[in-house]
Order: sequence, then structure tokens, then C-alpha cells
Amino acid sequence: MLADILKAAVIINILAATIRIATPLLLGAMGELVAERSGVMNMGLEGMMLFGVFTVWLATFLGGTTLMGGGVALIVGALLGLLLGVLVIYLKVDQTVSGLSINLLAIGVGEYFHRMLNVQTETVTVVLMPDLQIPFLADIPYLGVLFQQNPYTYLAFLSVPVVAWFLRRTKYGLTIRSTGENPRAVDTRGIDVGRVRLSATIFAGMMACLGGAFLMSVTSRYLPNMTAGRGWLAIIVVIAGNWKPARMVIATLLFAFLGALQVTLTTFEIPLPYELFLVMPYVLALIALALSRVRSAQPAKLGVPYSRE
Amino acid sequence: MLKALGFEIVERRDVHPLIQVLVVIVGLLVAFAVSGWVISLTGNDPVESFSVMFKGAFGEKRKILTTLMRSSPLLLTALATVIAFRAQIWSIGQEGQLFAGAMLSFTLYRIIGPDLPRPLFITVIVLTGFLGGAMLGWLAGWLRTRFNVDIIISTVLLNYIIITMLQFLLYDHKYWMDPNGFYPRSILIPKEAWYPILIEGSRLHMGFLIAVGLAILIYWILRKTPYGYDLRALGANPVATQFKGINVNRLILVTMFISGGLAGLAGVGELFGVHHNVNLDISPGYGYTGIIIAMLAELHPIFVILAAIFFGGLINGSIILVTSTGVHTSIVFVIQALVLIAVLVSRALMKYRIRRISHVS
Repeated sequence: MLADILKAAVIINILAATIRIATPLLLGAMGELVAERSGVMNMGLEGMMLFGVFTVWLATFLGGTTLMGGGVALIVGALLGLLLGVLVIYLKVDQTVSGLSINLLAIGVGEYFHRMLNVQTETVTVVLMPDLQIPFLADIPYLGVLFQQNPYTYLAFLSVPVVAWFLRRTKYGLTIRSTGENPRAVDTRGIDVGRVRLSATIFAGMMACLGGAFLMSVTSRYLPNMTAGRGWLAIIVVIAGNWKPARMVIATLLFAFLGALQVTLTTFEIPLPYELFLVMPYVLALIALALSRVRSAQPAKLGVPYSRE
Repeated sequence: MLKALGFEIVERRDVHPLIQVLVVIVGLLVAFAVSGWVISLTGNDPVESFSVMFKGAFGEKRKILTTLMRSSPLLLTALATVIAFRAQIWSIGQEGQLFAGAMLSFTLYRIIGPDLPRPLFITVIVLTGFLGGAMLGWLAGWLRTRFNVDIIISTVLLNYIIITMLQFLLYDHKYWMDPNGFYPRSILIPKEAWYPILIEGSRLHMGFLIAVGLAILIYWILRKTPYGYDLRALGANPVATQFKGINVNRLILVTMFISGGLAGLAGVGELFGVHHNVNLDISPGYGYTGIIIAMLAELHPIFVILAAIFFGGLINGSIILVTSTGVHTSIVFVIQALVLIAVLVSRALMKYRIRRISHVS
């Protein structure tokens, strides 16, 4: 049986699945990174992702296309980011509880509209978004599978260098990082701390919703709670990656690889319970958090609201 | 923007308690208005829905008793939240701890069976349920004190882990699944092992008394004991607490143990008082509802009782909603979330006021 698993075709399958599963995690984590660098912890990531899923489904239900749904998801994400930002930055509500309120709202709205709209007529099926083949590169034997992916996947992997460059090399990126480390200094320079943080939180909301939109664009059948903890994993990716984009990619790929193993291995007759694979990413996440003691790059003022005294 | 108009926002020093209550009520009204709008979006009548819900929850004596029954797990998970949040320990693991309590007590029940004398049996079951939730809470606390893992994240992960574990046990005839059934649920627990009923002819069980008793006990603990003092000190100023020579790590472990145990009790109550078998619907998010209740009651153990009954009514009233108006029960989740947001916003706004900028320095 081991020989079966080690066959080239299977390995390629696992590789492709890893890339696919990494997509929403990476999108969410990159948004979260920007928000956390500015000092705001977006604990509503899971809920925002759920809203992304829901938006694409609702767009399809109302007669739109999958791509259109993705566009609307961006707007919804921005609004959710705005909501969280206002709660956390201006009203100084605790970040855990504000995040929780968005998560609960997402669960409620997703479940309610699913029950009310989906059951009456026939179930709505979301048209899958076609994969985008990159010419020439897609023809490479074996590795070509990396270049026959969903548009969202390219976007996710492209966002890593872009966000890294933005935070490191641009003026606004520097401002965002300073806001997380020393908001008073930023304020002294005459820059509005609240506005910087709000922009970062809105970006985080948009990225999280895109992650959810991706999930719906490749699944076709809508189920409430479809994200199943992916938003939380994205938050963990940021911590385990020590707030550094390159390490976050490694952490993401590790989680995704585990998920890919689960998807692929369930097609084999393996005498292990299915739930074991299901639970593995969460257990691994706990272990990863326990072992990643290095928090050297954690923003000093993460989760601390700023007020001028 | 306000500045251009000659106004500024300043912090309010003290707020009259009456205004506090009023603000929360306004928040609740806004939440219900938005929920009504959501109901009308799907083509239903919000006014009719809310009145059906209210009648279903408080319309007659039997319904009130059922509402009280529904509020007991909520009260317990809310108390679990109160004790953790008072110390600024942001645990959202009540849901998982509830299941852990139910699971451990069911495990014990499978070993000892229902044949013990009833008072002894009930005591042992309740204590085991407490222990089940408490151990899970303690685990999150241990991960925090030993490995510096955030409690928020570890509790969420443990929720997922424990519920997946329950799925594993319930989807296999070899383990807990009823050998003659097709659904993921265990065999029925015989009647002599159920929680005693408080009022003949109703479903109100002993769990409600336990919950109310514990609410009073926690009120007392928080106000009068050294532990309660340390707990509030930790919530007010963690750094100062450490300097005072209080062992913060031990305090976190103890608090998570108690908080988890309270949530675990909710699980036992649902298992031996309401469902009488283990299934995945033992809690439709009672852990999270408990957090909302605690926030609504401003983390006060006595006000929590009132808020829990209100939410128990909401859940109880929603059950008949789908048959009489066609609005699905899950509208409760929408209402709950909106209540939380409305309360958070109104509480925060209360802390500030807008005044004219005075140009005297």
C-alpha cells in the first residue's frame, strides 16, 4: 500500500491539494498580518471568511455569477473590517469580544438564510470557477500542476511578496508597522493613528472575505459553517510564523499539507478513523503554538487601543 | 469631522445606573429592530414572529417553566464566562467544556450504570461532569502558563478537537452509537438515572437550582473571598497583581479549572436532564450564548440570572416559530449576535459624550 501512496500521480495530487487548501489560509493570514502589524487583532477572521462564503452563495442565488460574488465579497469584507475597526479602535471594545460578535453574526446570518432560501425551491449550486492555466509553465511534467490553479490561488501566493514588500519598503507600510509598535510616536508625527489602523483592519476584512469567496468558488454546495476553523488557523499561521511573511508561508504549507494528506488518504483503505485526520490540523496547531516560543516580531502594542492622554 | 463643527468627544466620568439600564434597553430594541428587518427580508412578518416567540416563551405557566429549563445551561456557561472574563482571561472554550462535561459523565455512567442509590449517583455524575469541563479548561490554562499559548486560540482549538472526538465516538457502533440506531446518538439513559424534576408535570429539572445556587455562590466568592479579590485584581491590573506577590500562573490555572467546570455542569444537565442521550445537538451553541449573556449582564453573577432567563425565553420561544410562522429557529443566532453588537456599542458610547469645544485652556 505504501508503494501505491508513493506513486507519482498520488504525490502530484497531494501537491495540488496542498496548494488549493493553502489558498484561503494564506489570504486570511496576509490580511491578518497587516492588521496585527498595525496593532489590531482581528479575532473575527473566521466570521469574515464565513461571510465571504455566504456572499458568493447569495450572489449565485440572486442570479449573479461566481466572479461577481467574489467582487461583492470584497465590499462585504471592507464593511466588516470597518465594523470591527470602529468597535475596536474608536469605541475601544475588547478585541476578543468584538471578534466574537462578528463570528456569531456570520454563523447566524449564514444559517438563517441557508434555511430560509435554500430549502423552499431546489438547492442552489454555485458555478465553479474555472482553473487558470498559465501557458508553457502548465506543461511542465509533474510540477505543471502548480500552474493550473484557481485565480484566487495565484492571488493568494502573489499577495505574500506584495504584502511583504508593502510592509517593508513603502512609506505607508512603515507607518503601519510603527502604529503597532509605538502609536504615540506616529501620533506625534501628525499621522492619525485611528485612520491607519482602520485602513489595515479594512484590508484584513477584504482578504478574509476573499478567502471565503475562494472556498465557495471551488465547492458548489453551500453549507453553513463551511470554513470549519480555517479562519482560526489563519490567525495561528501569523503567530506561528512570527509575523514574518516567509515563515508564514511555511506554516501555511505545513497545515495545508496535512489537510491534503487527509483528502488524499481517505481514498485509500487505511485502518485509521476519518476523524483523526479531521482533528490533526487543530492538534498540530496547538503543538505549533506551544513550540513556537519565539514572539520576537510580535507588535508591541498588539491589541492595545490607543488614546491620547 | 466633528471638530470642524465645533464639537469634541470627551470621556464621561460617571454614569447614573438608571441611564446604564436605559442605554442597554435601547441597545436591545435596536438589535430586535434589525432582526425584524432580517425577518422581513425573507418575506415574513417580524411583529407576528416576535409576538409568537414571546407567547411561546412566557405565555403560560408551563412555557415559563420550560423557559427556565432552557436557561439553566445558559446560566452555567454565562457564569463560566463571568469568572474568566472578570480576570481578563478571554476563554471562549465554554462550548467544548460543556461537551467535555457531558462526555466524561457519560463515560462514568457507562462504567457504574444507573444502579447506585439515586442521591449518590446524581452527586457522582454532577461532580464528574464538573471535572470533565474543568480538566479541559485547566488544559487551556496550562498551555498558557507553561507554553504561553493564548487562551482565546487554545480554547477555540480545543472546542474543535473535543467536538470532533465526540463525532468519532457517535458515528461508530463500536463506541457510543446506539447499536440499533442510524443516527449519531447514544442509547437512551433509563429514567431512574435522570435528573430529578423540580415541579411535577414540567421538564424543569434540578440543574436550574444548581445554576442559580452557583450564581449566588460566585457572587459571594467574588466579593468576599481572597480568591475573588485576587481574581478581580488580576482583571484590573495584571502587572500590579504580579508585583503584589500573587502567583498569577496559579490563579489562571484555578480560574480556568473552575470556569471549565461550570461549563461542564451545563453539559451534564443537558445530558441527564433534557436529552437523556449523547448527541451532537446537546448544545446548539450554548457556550457562545453564555458569553453574550455575561456581556449583557456586565459580568455580574446576579444580573446574569435575569439575562439567562431572557435568552432561555428567546430559545424556547423560537422552537414553535417555524411551525406557526415559517421563520426558521436559527433566527435566534442572528438576534443573539445583534444583541451582543448592540450592547457592546451602547456600552461604549455611554462612556463618552459630545460637547462643544471650549477655547479656554
